[in-house]
Amino acid sequence: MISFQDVSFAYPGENNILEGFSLDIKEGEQLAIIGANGAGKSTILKSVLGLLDIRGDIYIDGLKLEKKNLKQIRKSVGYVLQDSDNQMFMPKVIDDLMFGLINYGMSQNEAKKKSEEVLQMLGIAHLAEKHNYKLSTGEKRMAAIATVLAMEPRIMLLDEPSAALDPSNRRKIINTLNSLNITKVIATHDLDLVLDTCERVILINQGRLVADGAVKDILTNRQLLENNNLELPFSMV
Amino acid sequence: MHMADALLAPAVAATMYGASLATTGVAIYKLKKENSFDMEDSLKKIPTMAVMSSLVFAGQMINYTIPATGSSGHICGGVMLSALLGPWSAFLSMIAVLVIQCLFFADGGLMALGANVWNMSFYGCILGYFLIFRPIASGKILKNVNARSRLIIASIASCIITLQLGAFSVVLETGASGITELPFGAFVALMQPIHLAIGLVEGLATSAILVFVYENRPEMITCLTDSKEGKTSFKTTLVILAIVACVIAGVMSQFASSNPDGLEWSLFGNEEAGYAANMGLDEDDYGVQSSAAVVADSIQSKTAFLPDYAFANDEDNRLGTSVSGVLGSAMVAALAAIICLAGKIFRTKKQA
Amino acid sequence: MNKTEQARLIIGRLSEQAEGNSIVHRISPLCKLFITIVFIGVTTSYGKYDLSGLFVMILFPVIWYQFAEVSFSECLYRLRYVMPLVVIMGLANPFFDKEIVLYVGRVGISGGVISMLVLILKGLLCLFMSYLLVATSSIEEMCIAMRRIHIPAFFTTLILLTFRFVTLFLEELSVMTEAYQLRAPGQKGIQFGAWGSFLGQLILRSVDRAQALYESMVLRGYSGEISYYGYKKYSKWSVLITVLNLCLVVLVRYVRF
Repeated sequence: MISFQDVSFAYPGENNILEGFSLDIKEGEQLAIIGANGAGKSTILKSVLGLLDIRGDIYIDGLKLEKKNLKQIRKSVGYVLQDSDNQMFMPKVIDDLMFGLINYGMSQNEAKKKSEEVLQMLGIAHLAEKHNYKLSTGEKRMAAIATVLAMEPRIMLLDEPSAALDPSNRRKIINTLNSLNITKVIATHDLDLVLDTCERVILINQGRLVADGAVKDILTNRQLLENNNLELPFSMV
Repeated sequence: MHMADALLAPAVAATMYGASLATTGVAIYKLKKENSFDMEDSLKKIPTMAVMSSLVFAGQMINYTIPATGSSGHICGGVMLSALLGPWSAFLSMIAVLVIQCLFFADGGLMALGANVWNMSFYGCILGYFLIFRPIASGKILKNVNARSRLIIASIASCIITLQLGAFSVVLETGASGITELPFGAFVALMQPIHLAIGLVEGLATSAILVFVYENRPEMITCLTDSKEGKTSFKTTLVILAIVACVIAGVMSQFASSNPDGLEWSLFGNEEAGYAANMGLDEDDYGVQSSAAVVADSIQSKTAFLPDYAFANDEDNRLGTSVSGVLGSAMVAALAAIICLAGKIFRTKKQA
Repeated sequence: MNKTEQARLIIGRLSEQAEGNSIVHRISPLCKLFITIVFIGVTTSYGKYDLSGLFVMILFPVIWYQFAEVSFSECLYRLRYVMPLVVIMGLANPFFDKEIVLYVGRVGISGGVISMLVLILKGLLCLFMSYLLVATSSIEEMCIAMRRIHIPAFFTTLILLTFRFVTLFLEELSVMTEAYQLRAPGQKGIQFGAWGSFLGQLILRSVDRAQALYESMVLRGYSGEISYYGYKKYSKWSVLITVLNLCLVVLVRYVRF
């Protein structure tokens, strides 16, 4: 589904953030990318979307990541940003859901119908007419996920989906994620979230792939985690 | 420095629109050449420009009091924009600010937009950058001063000078529109010192910001870090000065055509007060200048919306303003009152 | 309430007003723009002593405001930004132009007084009409109108984003000002030493945020066309009203009653 082949990235004049990174993600897989702050998790996600000038190749659904394929790739890959404020730019929640749909050629009415369905499915239909700036952090995160889901992506990339959420909202997000039957890549250092949502984990440190394996193998390896500035998840202690 | 519509005669406004539109054309051409106009390619450029525009916008919304004058002013921001975005993007960013102010806040007139763009955006972003900021900041002048100090000097110098030019343009444009009896010299004496103070404050603020950005993200200040940038050729200098000369000639021609007395009075007539000496002009020079002015004027009378109507029947008006005028005005006022009343009654009925 | 809060309130009020649904709100923005420009052009073209002629022009804003259901007092509030320079210019006139042109009873009125009144009236009229345009059209509608007359998408996007960011910016600015003042009691404003880092941080942070936001727009297929905002139905009579208004303005301006 997604294949990284020897991908490297650096901001001009700085050290590599990602170095010789190769990885294959299979269809329907629930993958977690873990690592400390600044390890390169977000960079991996962003590179899939063609937002960065990378060296190396990435294939998505058999399509090579290059300019002429960008539109198609971006349509099939949904990206939930770490900061939902940056994702919601329209006046109302429903407008934000419709924005992408209309840009991809849906009519006004169809887009509205589709958006309402998605909000219904996520159980946040009551937020539709709310102004974005009046949402709480938890509502905002749910709405941000809704904006991405409305586009019916085949792959969903999530950057720190549980950051700054209270326990009940965090639980809501986890349930939502588990109810979606698509390929998901979650970048996070919330290891309890990983336990609840993913099957496979890769561990990144300073732009390099350190470990790749099943959740139960990696998240129980205290030595490995601590070497990479992480701790055992609470539920494992 | 935002001019209201009432301060400009249509012909002057049209001249300024012409000058500003021409510069905008050049800016768009330059940006298109660097491929900034591809919406998906300029992932960095557009948002950065928008942030800087909104900073300038916010800065202009928040007035501060100018010490000792009792009036208040706000930053203009052109120099900062061009240092961080490059002159052409900065020019467009500034226009975006002015368009928003005029179309969404009714600050600065719709017809005066051309003049406002010229006074703030052209001087600040284009002239200030090419002729003052870049030569100093890049080390062409002041070779043995360190980059930080060069930035500070460049910011302060270009802010002060471009604001002075802008303020002077306001005086010229208003004068050429013939709406005020305030003598040219007095107007200059009123505008320039105020803008000296504003320019100084803005220069300090600009330099503080630029130094911070330079220390944290040097690549954002291209004229210091990019070796290809940073050279203002003699040709650029000449072109910019020639454009300025043309526009000034264009505006001055309005003086000549729509207000001959005013021009005579302000530049030559009041010789004893020393205005002519101040301006460095005398009657002989004037002849030379007006040949350029005639050309500019002929262009204007084609482009102007209502070419020079204002003075055609002044004599009549002067004599005609009489009892009938007062009576007519009273009738208009009464009619206006009736319309308001009718509207009010209509609305209350609709609500009920 | 500090200055940044006030600025935010103004923005909020203006955009609320633009969301109204009066007859004037429903005229297409391009037509309104044209009407406004014509009005301003004609108003400023009046001779500087033509008070009685200019006075008739008052009828236009009066009528338009009745139909637009826009608060007139909000408009008057905006005067303080625009009028000072106009008034200063005008006030000079009576001192320099003392020729008596008109007697009202025994009191002679000089040309300077008349031209001052004309100037101030022109200022007011232009402001009334520009404000009407502002208060009845939202920024998105205006940008669509601009696209229609082939202004580059680059530019309309810049305007839209700038407008969005202003609110964000003012928000951040007011939070930062508060944080600053909590640690610097009794200080007026922000001391010069901190200007650079205060605003500089704000800029760098906002640039990063803005880039993320724009990325997420592009990721969802944004390519410069604001196809989205078309939902307001414009009145079919827009052009008719515009032409009618044009005729009336020309009539008032060039035909003496």
